[in-house]
Amino acid sequence: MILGNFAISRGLLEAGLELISAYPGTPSSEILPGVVYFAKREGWDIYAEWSVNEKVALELSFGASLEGLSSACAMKQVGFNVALPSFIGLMGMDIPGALVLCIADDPGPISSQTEQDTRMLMSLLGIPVFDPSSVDEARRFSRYAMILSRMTGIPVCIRPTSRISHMREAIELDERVSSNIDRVKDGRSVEALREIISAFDGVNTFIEGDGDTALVASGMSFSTALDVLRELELSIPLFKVGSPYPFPDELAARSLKDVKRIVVLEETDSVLEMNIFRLFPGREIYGRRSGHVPSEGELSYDVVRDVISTVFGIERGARVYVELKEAIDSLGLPKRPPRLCPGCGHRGAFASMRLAFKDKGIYPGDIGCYTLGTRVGAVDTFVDMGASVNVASGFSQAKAQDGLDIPIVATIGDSTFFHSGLPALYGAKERGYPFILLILDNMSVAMTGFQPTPETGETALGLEGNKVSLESVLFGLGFDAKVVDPYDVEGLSNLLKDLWDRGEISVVVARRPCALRYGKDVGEKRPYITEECTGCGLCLKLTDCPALIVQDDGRVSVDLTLCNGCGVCRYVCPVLRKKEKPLEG
Amino acid sequence: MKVDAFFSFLPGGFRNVVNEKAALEYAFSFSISGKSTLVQVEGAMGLSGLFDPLMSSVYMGTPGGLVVYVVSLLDPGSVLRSIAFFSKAPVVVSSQEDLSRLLPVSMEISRSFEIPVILLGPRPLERSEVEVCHLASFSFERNPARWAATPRFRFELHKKLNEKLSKMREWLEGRCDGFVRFCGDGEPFISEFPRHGFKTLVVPFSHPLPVGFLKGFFEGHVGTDSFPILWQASGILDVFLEDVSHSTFSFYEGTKSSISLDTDRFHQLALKFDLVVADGSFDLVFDDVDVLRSPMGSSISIASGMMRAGKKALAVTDDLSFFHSGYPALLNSYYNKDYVKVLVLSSIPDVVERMVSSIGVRVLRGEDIFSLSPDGDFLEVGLP
Repeated sequence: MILGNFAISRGLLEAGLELISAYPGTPSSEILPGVVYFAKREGWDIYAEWSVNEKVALELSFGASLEGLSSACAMKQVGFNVALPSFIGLMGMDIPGALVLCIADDPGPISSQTEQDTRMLMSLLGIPVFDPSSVDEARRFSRYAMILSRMTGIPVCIRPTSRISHMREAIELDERVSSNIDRVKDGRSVEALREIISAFDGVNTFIEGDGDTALVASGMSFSTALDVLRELELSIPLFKVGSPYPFPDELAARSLKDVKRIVVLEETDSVLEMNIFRLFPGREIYGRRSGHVPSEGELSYDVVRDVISTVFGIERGARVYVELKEAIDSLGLPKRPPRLCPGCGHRGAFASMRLAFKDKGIYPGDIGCYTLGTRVGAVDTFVDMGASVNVASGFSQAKAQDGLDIPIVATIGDSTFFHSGLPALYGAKERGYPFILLILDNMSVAMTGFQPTPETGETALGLEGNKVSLESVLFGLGFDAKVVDPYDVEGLSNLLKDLWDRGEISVVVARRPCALRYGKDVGEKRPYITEECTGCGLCLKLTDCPALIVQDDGRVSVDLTLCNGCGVCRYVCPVLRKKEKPLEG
Repeated sequence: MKVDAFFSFLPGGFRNVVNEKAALEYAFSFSISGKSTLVQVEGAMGLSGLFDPLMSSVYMGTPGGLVVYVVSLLDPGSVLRSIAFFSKAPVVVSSQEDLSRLLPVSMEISRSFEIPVILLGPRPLERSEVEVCHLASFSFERNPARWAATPRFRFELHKKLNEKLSKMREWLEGRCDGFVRFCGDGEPFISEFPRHGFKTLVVPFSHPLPVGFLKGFFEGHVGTDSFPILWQASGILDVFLEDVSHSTFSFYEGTKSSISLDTDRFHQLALKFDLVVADGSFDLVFDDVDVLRSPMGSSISIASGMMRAGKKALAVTDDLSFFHSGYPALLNSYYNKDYVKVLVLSSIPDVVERMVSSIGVRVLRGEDIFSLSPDGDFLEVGLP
């Protein structure tokens, strides 16, 4: 039983992968660790690298492929936006080795800022793309992608979606093949690509069925549709598209020539649908253009069942039909929204900001665990990786036009700062519009699985890299940054006020190693609630700590099994703060 | 056109920001504060450079108005058109003749629908065409469900965006008069720019395409619903008009050179390496040295990858590219011990040296760079 992303790793290795670079991002994060796992297990020699951002990751693997290596890079779909300028500049080059782009999409979205469909982008750019519908296909298609790239000298993309990346399945594994694969003449042509792909087993397939309505689908939508059809006891012709680009024109034309109606299911844009319209003008086509398929969100089981039921005129009451959300709601479980973990250093940093400037400030945020600062009013914007610095600088300039004095405190994580904060801070310094940048340094890429950062000096292969000092880099950019412990709410709050009064760009590093990765028991300031609790709720509002539980009488109790003793709630509590000696738990 | 702010990043021309991403993010801040902004970048590389914040801001919206003006004269291929379409932002394409009218129209679309608009124009804007002044007051309203939307809210924003584009299509149908028109003689076809020898239907509104108006217009003037389509994103227009397309593709072929660097001494240095990977605005032409031109800020990582494959590559960049995106790449090389050799051509060597040495990288300057050895264990940065 292996994870979809591990299946991709395995497929790449079986096809002779020699180098992989990646920047972590859900749902792609496990691909590189999967490569390292299998390579160590099998004794295969590879190089793997966590790069500081996706642009660097792409360039590194591209450079290696230009010198003959079979290489790959992995990232999430919005990560490819970061790599896009370099990819556009390089994609026309002939690759003597091979390059596979593993770009995981996030329909929903579940953990991204957009739902963009990498199949669409690759189709527009003329880059072959595979869309696996199962874990086994994830392995096989990754293998095919590497072979295709080697045969043609062009980059090839494999695009899993979240469900494929994170589902588990028992599959069979293959041995590693030789990377000595003959090049095909004129391999870039669509005809040559189609011919090569048609020789791969089970990429584009047609399954005969009854009736004059066929289903065309790719990726997870195909697997979901199979389940729905089984439930509805429908046996219709099925056309599975494993290579949205190049679209299998000939097979589609031959297979679907006699059907009158075609239902198209795919995530998230209309890639198959456009091709079906192109190949079958005048045919009845049920998809996004007809309004049968929603243009946003995942095609979940319920959505697919709705589409197929509507097209086939099946009444929804035929079987028990309860939407997942309704079913969960009916259980009456307590709601547990995402929150920062107990003991997270970010909590103290956010409380300090709010105590220093309250609602008067503007707080540009960034992407990471600390996006959860929205829950305590300490994150007002997040746009994309590294935007906090530029948005803060932009706000500062915009308000300066009106002569307004609005404190601006931007927050960014350490990994995000290395990702894209460096040029941004250099540019902001040149511009000079004042703001405070608070770097929330937890020495980890916590949100995506505790990958190392340049500060740790740990590498993807578990070897010793060079450590990069955050303070030193900031000095290089012209900042004498203060380093503080975010548990010291009072000290940080006062520092922020002092820095704002200076009217210049300032940088503060709020350093506290991730409580989950580096250990839970890090603080000694556990509170206990006394009869003096007035139930004002300030501790909840400013800390949003999961260890604080509201009782029936409105007062707050502490779940000591969760409490980490960081003491942030003690500081923000008006009752406990007045005590001369803080109460010890 | 009057705007509250103008941010420009043209590699060989006017720039007041460190890179394209910064330009869009500054503009986004202005726009969600109620102010109108204009961003200028060049070609597919420029548009893709601001793609990450653009995609996100298309979802969130830009109430004050935000136009991304892309100079596309040197990059007329469909790569630019394709990525513009992919962003889901409205795309307007202007000829030289229509530019003065389409600039304000693009801003009007942006403000009316609270969405960034991509305007593809034929040439860089002249300073006299953009007047930066104080038009609107700062008015940022805290709304985390929009400006800091978590994935759950992003789904809602995506839904609203799709509805918005649908309404915009209808809105544009009523504003095509005077912009959509035939030019020239000969066989008819649809285009964003007039083509010699053809009767061309000029369509400035590429996305969303005012399909109803176009069909009516074409049928009314030509009496047929079959005509070729050129200069479009592959497979897009033809789907809506259900016709055969003749899409074109072109690939970006490297940066334009403007600085000469063909000294004998540099040549001697380059000969120590297997090849040179260069990004930046300078000329590198040698008969006996392989030079790979690479996109902005990419030379260091590409050279690192080549080093991993056993090739001794020298990365050469300039300070504009280094500040743009080369600095994180250098930091990455040091962190992962990719022992690459980098030459930074800089007019402000002290600043670059401070930044580079702060990472931990060994720096050579002036005369010392010519002793640079490909086999050394250190990252080395030369600053002539």
